[in-house]
Amino acid sequence: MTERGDEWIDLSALGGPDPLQADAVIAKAMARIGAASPERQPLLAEIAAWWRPGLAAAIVLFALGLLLARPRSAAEAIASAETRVLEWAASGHIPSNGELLATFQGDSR
Amino acid sequence: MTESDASLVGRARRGDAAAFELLLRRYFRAGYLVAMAQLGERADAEDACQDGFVKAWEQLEQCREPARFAAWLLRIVRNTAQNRRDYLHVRRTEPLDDDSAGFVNGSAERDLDRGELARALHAALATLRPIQREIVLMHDLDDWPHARIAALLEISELMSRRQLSDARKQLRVLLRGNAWEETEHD
Repeated sequence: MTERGDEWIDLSALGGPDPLQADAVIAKAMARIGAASPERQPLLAEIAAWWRPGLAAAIVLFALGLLLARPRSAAEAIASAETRVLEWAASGHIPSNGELLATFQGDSR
Repeated sequence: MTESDASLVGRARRGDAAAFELLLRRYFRAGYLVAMAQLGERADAEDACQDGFVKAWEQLEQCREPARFAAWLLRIVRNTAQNRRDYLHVRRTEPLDDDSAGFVNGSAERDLDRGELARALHAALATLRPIQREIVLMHDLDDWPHARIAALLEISELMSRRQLSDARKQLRVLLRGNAWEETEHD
């Protein structure tokens, strides 16, 4: 406390700071601070928070895999058909319609 | 034992919001009075404090001297309050309005209620320089010793005393003839 001498001026009508006011103002400030920078979540919650980007990444990888796998499958199919035709030629086997269809349908896929 | 400001700032920098809240509780009164000195209205001062506190949290890494956190915080609150005052177009340096003129030259018989008195005080305080307003509010409204005022405002004790003395003289002139002054200070 200060010495309130003769020169002291009563400013109490202005209303000084009070504890309830302090509580209210600080609580509002802390709520804004909390909203802007949330506290660290538990590990599982953090992992769970990544499910959307994780799913998106998985879809992209799957699509890439399909794109990369497609030419190889086609090449393999062609190679397989050629091998079979060569086998037929070497063995003198005359393929049936069903065998031809099965061989070249696989190639066209 | 009370934890030092520097220690609390260190914890707050590591994300400890509770430590920061302790700092705010420690310096709320100072912040409020600094904002009040700029804005003159309780609600505006509270809003400026709140905004200033949030800014302080966001800029905590820029507090170069954690031991002098209080002075740093008050600078932020003061700047925030000044910006708010500019935004609100509050002109604290305007000449006294009709109501307040009555307190300078008015009759001693005038019956004043607290609201009128507060308005008169606001008007009289508005004629002071910002530093004088801060010192008068801290000393005469919230009973702070000069040593504490000087430390927080980063001025000398002598300067604090001198500014208070000048401010009081000016206020007395403006409030002279006021019935409140005669009855309250008997």
